[in-house]
Amino acid sequence: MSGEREDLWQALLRSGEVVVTDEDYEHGYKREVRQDLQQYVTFRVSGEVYGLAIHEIEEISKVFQTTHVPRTADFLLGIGNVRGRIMPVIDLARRLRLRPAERGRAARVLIVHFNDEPYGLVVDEVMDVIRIPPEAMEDKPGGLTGTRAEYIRALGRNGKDLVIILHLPALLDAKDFVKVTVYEEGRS
Amino acid sequence: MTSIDQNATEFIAEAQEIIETFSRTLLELEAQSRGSGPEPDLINAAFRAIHSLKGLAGLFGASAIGGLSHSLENTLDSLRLGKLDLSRPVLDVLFEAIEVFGRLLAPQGEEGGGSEVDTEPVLTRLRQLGEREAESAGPQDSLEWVGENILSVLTEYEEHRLRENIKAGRNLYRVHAKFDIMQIDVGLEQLKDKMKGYGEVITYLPSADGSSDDAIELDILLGSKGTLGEINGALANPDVAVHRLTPAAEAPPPVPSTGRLAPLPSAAKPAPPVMSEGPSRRAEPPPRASGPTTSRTVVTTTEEPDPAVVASSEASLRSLSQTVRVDLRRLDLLMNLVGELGLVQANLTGVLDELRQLDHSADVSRELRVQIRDMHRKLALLQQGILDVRMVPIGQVFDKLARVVRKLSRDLDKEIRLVISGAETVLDKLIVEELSDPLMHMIRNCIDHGIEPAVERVALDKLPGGKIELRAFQKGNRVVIEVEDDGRGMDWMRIRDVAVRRNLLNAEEAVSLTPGEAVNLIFQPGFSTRDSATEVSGRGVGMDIVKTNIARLSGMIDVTTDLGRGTTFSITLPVTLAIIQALVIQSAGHTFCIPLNSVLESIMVETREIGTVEGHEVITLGGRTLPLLQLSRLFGLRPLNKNYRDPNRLYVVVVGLAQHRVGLVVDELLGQQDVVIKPLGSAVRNVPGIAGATELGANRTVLLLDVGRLVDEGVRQSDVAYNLGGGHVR
Repeated sequence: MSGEREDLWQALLRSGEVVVTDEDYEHGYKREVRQDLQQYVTFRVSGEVYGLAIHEIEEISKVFQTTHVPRTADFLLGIGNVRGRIMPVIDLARRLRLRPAERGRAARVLIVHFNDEPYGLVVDEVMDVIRIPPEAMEDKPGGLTGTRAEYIRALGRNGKDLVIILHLPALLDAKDFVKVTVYEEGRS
Repeated sequence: MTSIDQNATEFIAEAQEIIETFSRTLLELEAQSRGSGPEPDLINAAFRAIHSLKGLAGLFGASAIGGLSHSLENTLDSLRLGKLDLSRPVLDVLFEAIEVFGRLLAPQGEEGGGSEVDTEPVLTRLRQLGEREAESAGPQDSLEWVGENILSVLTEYEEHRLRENIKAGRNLYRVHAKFDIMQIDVGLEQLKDKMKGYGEVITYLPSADGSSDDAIELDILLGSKGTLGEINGALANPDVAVHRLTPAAEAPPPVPSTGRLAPLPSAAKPAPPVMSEGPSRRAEPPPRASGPTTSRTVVTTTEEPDPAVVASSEASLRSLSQTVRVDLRRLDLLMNLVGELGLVQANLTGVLDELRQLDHSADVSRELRVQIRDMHRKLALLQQGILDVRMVPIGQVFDKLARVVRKLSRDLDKEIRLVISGAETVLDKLIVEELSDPLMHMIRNCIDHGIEPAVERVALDKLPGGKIELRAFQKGNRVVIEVEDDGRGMDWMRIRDVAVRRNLLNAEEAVSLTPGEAVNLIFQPGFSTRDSATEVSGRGVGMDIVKTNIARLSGMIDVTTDLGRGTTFSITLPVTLAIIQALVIQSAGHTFCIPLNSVLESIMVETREIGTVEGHEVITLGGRTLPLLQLSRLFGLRPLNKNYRDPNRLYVVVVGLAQHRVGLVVDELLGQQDVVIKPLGSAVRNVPGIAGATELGANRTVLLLDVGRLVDEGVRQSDVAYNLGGGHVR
């Protein structure tokens, strides 16, 4: 991948103001970050490259055990527990209606924050942290149609590669989680 | 920013607390004004509450609240001085002020905010009350006989009370009491309590020279209908002497004329004639020295405008320093930590078991076992301690409801008497908070639809005023809250017909419906829509929402109604949500928890005992038909093909309330456990049949069943059969 490649840790360091390094002391805490350069974490789901704004991601965790929740949509793997916090864990491949790939050792759970609640998104592999200037963003996925369009916020151009930036509110819409038909099935 | 925010929240919390106290006092005063007349102490309490609110508002620069409390304080001052009567219009304005306070505090995002609320109307009304003040001062009787030394130190308020007492034909007593200096607060309080039974304490005066280093002597002016003998008998105490004060026209009192409140002679001597009755005799005379203690008491009593403040200020000061306001979230955090500690302990026990396998470590493992057991006990205590902190009396909500009743009954012009019992029943703060909305809904329905207009009631031979009873009581490890009205009740046949019209059930199903089942249809989503609320004789505004809210608290709601006589709603709740006892079960390889408070029993059933009714499995238990629900089928879980148990036997967990019971068929009963309940996020919160999640050791997350919901499904499945078109998931 071309463009600014950076180590994930470095990027996380830079995005948050909580971590202080030696450099900070030297430069008197005055490290400027270009405000309009949004940072994105990119990851692979069923062979395609997706991205989420870095501030939406709270933590990247190894895949952990989940508990199946009956009467929910199939993309919900279940609920998981990370240090005492209960969160729904979503199989992103199923959510995006892609063919699920074999989940290997590289699989990770992106813990995202939405409406003050944590959610886990299982991806095949976390790749990079990239910066995309606003001018390289295509707000409307113009030519792109189909069932997945609603989950896409924008298309980002990272060099010559395209990154599909996901739209969390659509992805985590609460009404999709509960299987509506289950109530009638349960009674028959 | 945090410190300001914190200040603001502290201010709001404290102000709300004061206003709640004030509101409670007003409600009590209102009740009294209809009966025996308002108690001066209560008016004083109201005055004090608003006075502290004013001070608080000044401290935080909340000018709107400060201004309103200032005006309110003036009105209350007039009330306690008898310049204004506690009439209904006055009460109305006072209650209005409470509502305005509520609005002023509500949107307070920024400091001193809430400025959009217009306080002018209520301020105008308060001013008008002031103008209306009775100028009926008239010629005042001379009070000289009381003694100038007393009169000269009385405040305006005390003098007013003195006159009131004389007007009421009460006798006046001067009670001379001596207190140990270390215990004056306790002793005075006790004495005051005793005297209250006999009359009104008008003031405390320091005794001029009757004090020593370690004792304080006070003269207390008491107005009472009792005779000297009665008072003396009641206060039987060697440190107390009682004298009667009488107007000069009658027997000239020997004592009050002797200058500055005649000091009693050294007590070991025989009692002077005024101290007629025997028991009032003082013990050892302390060495006299009217030192600094005396002057200190003089200052306190003369500068304090309010007699009650002297004693109660000490009490309230103490309670302030012993009370800590805690954010509920912090307690949740602690609770979680305790829960996790419990898991650590479970793991330790596991390690211990492994250790025991090794022969050579017998001593170590024995020691470890002792320590773990000790830790277990302490953990249980810690958990209980934190739980206790979360408990608050449900009276907090009842007070709010009393205001709602008052307002609605005036708006709808229905006279309603609210009878409250069990306000001291404690519940988890979280539950109490969540309860206020559902209860408000129910009370509204009671007044709006339940209680008939007075004319209609009289025609039915009922009292013109309606009655609503609000009861709370503990029942085992549950708390029951009942809302009962004596209104028109609900007509089950009309409810059934409406349900048919709304396609909640079809005509054939309707025929077989029992009255009890029909009435429960009001909890169906889709039953309650706006037009049905006015059309149906009963109630119906959002009862499904009420039910959902109660279910979210692991509670159940039940209704019984007697046409023409009234309706009773009964809510059963766990005492706390933070931690509950649960039955751990397994179905199709999945583990679930069932709140133990909704489990009636667990039984083993042979397959041949199972019968079918219209294709649904039932068993007969205690002479009644119990619908069976296969949990695995209900949840669409694929059963495991493990033959780990006798296929002819089933475990059935009987859950529910008295008349709504179902048997949940499960694979295994794994035992009981205390579990810390964690909320599911908003995405999965609305899964029907699931109420929450918890951890069960080894970081295993387990779901908690929503029994109320499952019982519903079970009852409906067997009684109404299926295809209830309206039963859609919310």
